[in-house]
Amino acid sequence: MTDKSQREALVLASIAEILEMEPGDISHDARMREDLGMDSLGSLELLSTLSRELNVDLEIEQAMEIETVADTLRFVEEHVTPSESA
Amino acid sequence: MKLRFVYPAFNRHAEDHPELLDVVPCDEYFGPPSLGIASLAAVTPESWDLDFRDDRFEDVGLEDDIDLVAISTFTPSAKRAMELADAFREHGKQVVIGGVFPSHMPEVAGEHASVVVGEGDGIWPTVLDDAARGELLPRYEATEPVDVNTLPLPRIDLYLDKECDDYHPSDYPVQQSRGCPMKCVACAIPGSLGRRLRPLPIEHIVGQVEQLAARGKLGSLTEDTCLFPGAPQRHTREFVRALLETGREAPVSYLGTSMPLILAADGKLLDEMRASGIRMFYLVGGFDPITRQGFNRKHPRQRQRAVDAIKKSIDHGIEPYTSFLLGNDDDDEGSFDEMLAVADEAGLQKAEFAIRTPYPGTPDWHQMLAEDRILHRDWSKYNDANVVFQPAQMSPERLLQGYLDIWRDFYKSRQNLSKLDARDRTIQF
Ligand code: B12
Ligand code: SF4
Repeated sequence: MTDKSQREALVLASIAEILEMEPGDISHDARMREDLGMDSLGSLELLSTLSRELNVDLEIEQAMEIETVADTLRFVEEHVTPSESA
Repeated sequence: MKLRFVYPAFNRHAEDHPELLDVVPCDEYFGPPSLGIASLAAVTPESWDLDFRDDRFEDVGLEDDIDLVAISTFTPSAKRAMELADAFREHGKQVVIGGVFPSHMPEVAGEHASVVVGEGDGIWPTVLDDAARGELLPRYEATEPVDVNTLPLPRIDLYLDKECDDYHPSDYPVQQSRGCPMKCVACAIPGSLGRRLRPLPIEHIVGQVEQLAARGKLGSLTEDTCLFPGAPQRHTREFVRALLETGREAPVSYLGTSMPLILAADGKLLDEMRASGIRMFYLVGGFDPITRQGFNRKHPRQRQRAVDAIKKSIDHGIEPYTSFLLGNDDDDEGSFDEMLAVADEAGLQKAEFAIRTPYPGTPDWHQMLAEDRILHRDWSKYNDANVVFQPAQMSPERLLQGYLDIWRDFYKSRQNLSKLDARDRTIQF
């Protein structure tokens, strides 16, 4: 997946799938736990799905630091390898 | 100096509800102890002459000539553990107690024995030195997480040597890691074994499996962290490859995980697991959005995801033994039937049903305390087979009845399981 907007769509679709929401209803400012109700194992599923789809290794400790949807997007951009993000 | 490890008795589902034995096709009953005692025995200096007693089926020897009694307990056995501690003290013995319960309730356990809070391995030599001088402190705390690269193999022989007609598990726990950074509402691990997941070296995990295989036993990889993204999953891949390299079917009974992680898992990894001989997953339920919301008819997509997770596992040839947690705040009286419907729709063959239990040290415990929903502190009833809290959407009596009914209803059409051999049967009960 090479395009930033595609990656964003993937992140929003994955969050929506896990939380039974519509991607369009997810605001970038939303806090994963407090506003969206994402629990620990939900966030692991998200991370695991993103790792698989984007072919990157994301570590759980880093995931624990993610607080908002915007953090997740930033986190993904930081971890896609240069060839991926070209 | 003489040291005796004691594993106190506790009730499991069928001991509290013997009628379940008539409806659940399962002929194996006693499970193995936790690895707590086997781990401490492995780091006990040779100057100590040690032995082990399993209170579930043998006398603990109150009168015996012993310098130190070391009791390992989790909440279901805590009441008995404290009774035994008192009895040993009355017989003039020094007693130390450790494990999940004392780690979270040191002030309660501390009335009966010296307490070790947290991982015991690191502090154990100090405890033994103090005991040798007759100067045990009231409390020891494991302040630093144990370096898992230094751990010897657990002395599982202590458990295996006890096997008899009454006790002969087909599998024994294998440890993959210590600690967990997650905050699952019903879990006591982060509080007792630390908030950092420290995977054991692959050679250690393979070594544990091999030492069981050498005695004709299977290893159960009971922790639910094997499919966590990042290091744990890389670790599992390596472990599976090591199993594949042996060229024989993995001597592993099951691997723990959960529905969300099955859904997210790479199908190729699942295929490799199957190829290595892993035939069963133990799906922990009740901690994740799917199993918390999927059974109340308000979240059709979560319900569908439960079906999908079970089917995905079956499609990859790995049987999903599923643990359903009953009594979550989102569950109502209709949830029992929903669980049965999901199980049938997905073609689930094996399941267990556990009553939500707010164990001390879990986020759930603190929530229940704050909401004044704890009904009592008879720890022997904290075992997933009794209702010890006020459920949100039904009475405690209704929840208990729902639990008894769902065991019966689920297995009504699955009685053929009793004919399966140990490896293919339900795990434990
Ligand atoms: C294997 C296992 C089982 C096996 C074996 C029984 C057992 N006693 O654990 C079986 C399958 C039978 C089992 C059953 C249950 N289990 Co269980 N099980 C585990 C598991 C996955 C591994 C245990 C283990 O070997 N750990 C590794 C050892 C090394 O850790 P440890 O025992 O904590 O020991 C360390 C310290 O505690 C301390 N220590 C321990 N003992 C002593 C003694 C002394 C003297 C000292 C100094 C130190 C010390 O040092 C040790 C080394 O660092 C743990 C989770 C985990 N990762 O620990 C859950 C766990 C122990 N189980 C738990 C529960 C709730 C149950 C059940 C009640 C319900 C269920 N559905 O699982 C049932 C039992 C009753 C029933 N109705 O069926 C909870 C206990 C929570 C609590 N507060 O007590 C745990 C912590 C899981 C969790 N997610 O919260 N379980
Ligand atoms: S249930 Fe599993 S994932 Fe959750 S905190 Fe406990 S060990 Fe970690």
